[in-house]
Amino acid sequence: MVNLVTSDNESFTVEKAVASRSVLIKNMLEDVGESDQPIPLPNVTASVLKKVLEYCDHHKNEPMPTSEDLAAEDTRKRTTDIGEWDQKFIQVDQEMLFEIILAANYLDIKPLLDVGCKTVANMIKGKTPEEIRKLFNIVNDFTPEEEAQIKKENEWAEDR
Amino acid sequence: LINFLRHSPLPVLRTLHSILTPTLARDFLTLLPPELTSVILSYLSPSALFAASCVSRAWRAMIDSDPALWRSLLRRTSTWFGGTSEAAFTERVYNYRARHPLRNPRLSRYVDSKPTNLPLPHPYKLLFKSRHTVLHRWMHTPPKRLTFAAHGNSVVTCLLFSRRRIISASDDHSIHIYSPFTGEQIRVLEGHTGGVWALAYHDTLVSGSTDRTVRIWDLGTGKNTHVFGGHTSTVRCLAVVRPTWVDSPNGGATKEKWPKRTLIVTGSRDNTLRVWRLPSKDDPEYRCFGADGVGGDPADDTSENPYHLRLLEGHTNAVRALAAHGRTLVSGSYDSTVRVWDIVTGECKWELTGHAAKVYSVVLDPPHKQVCSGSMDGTVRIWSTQTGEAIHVLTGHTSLVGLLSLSSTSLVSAAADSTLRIWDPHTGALQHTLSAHTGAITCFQHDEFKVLSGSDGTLKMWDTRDGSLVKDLLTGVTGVWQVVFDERFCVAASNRQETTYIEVWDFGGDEA
Repeated sequence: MVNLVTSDNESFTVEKAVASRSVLIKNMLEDVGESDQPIPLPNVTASVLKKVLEYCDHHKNEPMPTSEDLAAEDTRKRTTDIGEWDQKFIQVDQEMLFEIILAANYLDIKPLLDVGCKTVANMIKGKTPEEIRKLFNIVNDFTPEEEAQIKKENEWAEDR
Repeated sequence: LINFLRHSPLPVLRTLHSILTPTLARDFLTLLPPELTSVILSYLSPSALFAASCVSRAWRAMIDSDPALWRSLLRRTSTWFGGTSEAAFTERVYNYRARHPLRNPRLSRYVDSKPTNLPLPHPYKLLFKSRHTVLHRWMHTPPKRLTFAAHGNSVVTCLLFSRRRIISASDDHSIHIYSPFTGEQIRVLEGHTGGVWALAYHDTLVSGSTDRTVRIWDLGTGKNTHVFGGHTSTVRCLAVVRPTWVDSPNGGATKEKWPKRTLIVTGSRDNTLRVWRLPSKDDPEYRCFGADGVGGDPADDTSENPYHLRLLEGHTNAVRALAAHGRTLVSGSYDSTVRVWDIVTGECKWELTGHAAKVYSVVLDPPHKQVCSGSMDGTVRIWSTQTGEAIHVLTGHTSLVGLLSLSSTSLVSAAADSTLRIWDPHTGALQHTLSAHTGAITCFQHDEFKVLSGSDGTLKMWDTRDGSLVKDLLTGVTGVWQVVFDERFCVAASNRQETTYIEVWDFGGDEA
């Protein structure tokens, strides 16, 4: 078992297989060897870690992505498909989604980071600029002239 | 709180919701670290990126300035050509911007916008846009078509398309200039006393003929300013060689510009090649002996021609094809060999032997220091211009390989066996065989997206990337002599019912 301590000082005890989904923790465990020392995670709060560990627990028996998988990333066709369980798992408010992405990035859990990024991409997809602004609470700071210009210079991209 | 909510009426919940939602909302793209923003953007299609770049200044700046995003889009849409052409485009854009700090909206390809305070996009975005616009138009937009008669019933031997002018040469001895917009005949260049079989354009027009002369024309006035004699038989191929930065012949990483002045190289049925200096605008005119059919034989000239630089001898049969870049010249001959020359010293660096029959076509691949040759023996060979070694022998064609063309990612060969083949120029692997024509391929041109090929009665468009037939541009004609295209226009010279026609397809869409 591994003992993880969050930024708000809560402690989680989880199986090594679960904690090791995080490449950061996995490397730390390899560095220190067998030890009961708690691992501090100063960038993650308890509420977020709880959610992240839920993900790790569900996926603990799957193979880790290899470096070749990651290298092929750039040329591969990009799909935003997300597995059924992950889909339900990631149905959270934006604040939590934001924190999960940051935590997955910090803890180096590539598959979870991908789920998070794909979810944001899916939120943007198929929406008008106004709908996107509303969704993410963003202020339109273009002048009307600039807006017309951007529309004109991007006409080519429509419906492709 | 939960209890309170449970007992609240719907309007209260709605109000609460409208207050809470924005509080929980996060502007992900602005707040996340840039490398994660980049990952999110990489999942979006061009149209979604377009919508996203309209959201706010910050979103637009992130999307437009992300080279990795656009490079990855180019790669995933098979419109990334390996880096060389992309780097050259990027350099052109930055040079242009440096020269024109006040943006010129006419060259929208390089700046993408009229003057405003918005930051300029990364060149890769412009490249993606331009490649996709052109690709879409060629593949999906019906072109405007213009047909007009030209050169009576004579063969069109050469067809060039440059600066929005169609330049056609014919065995009727003349060269014509037409507008691609109206079909109007702008000029007729007369002077050659035999069929014109070689043509090149670089500010001035250079032609070679069965009358054994090389002629220089001022397209502005239509005047034949120079006539070079010396070749003792038909001038069959020629090229204009511009000063270009090339690796120093002494080795090392230094670059040198060669040749020092723009040259003309010509190849003839008299087995030789000649190197000439291309006259510039203010240079005196020159007419060799017998230029106008009187006063001597053009073949006797050269001693007093100030533009004549070198005679390259070595081939033992007609020179059929040539290609040149920097100081390297390659020639393909009916003596079955390919020779590599240093234009500056006139030295023959390599004699490439291996073809079992006449060589009909050569193309240079300067970045890889290779030359490709096509022969009547049905093979295409790839050689090193550095070491003179044969690198690949491409087999598959069953007869004369008359035409070759090379782009960043593909080598295309066209043969009398009615097929075209697309090869990987670096491994020599066959990628696609284009077989839908029923006769010898008479002409073709290709780029990374499309191959346009003419054969008995049809002009076809193929997709370079998967080798599929896209459409027939022309059917039911007797023959297609020539085809050329640029980003917007396709021009073909064909023959039907004993009349030669020039056809123009304008794929410019609504472009003015």
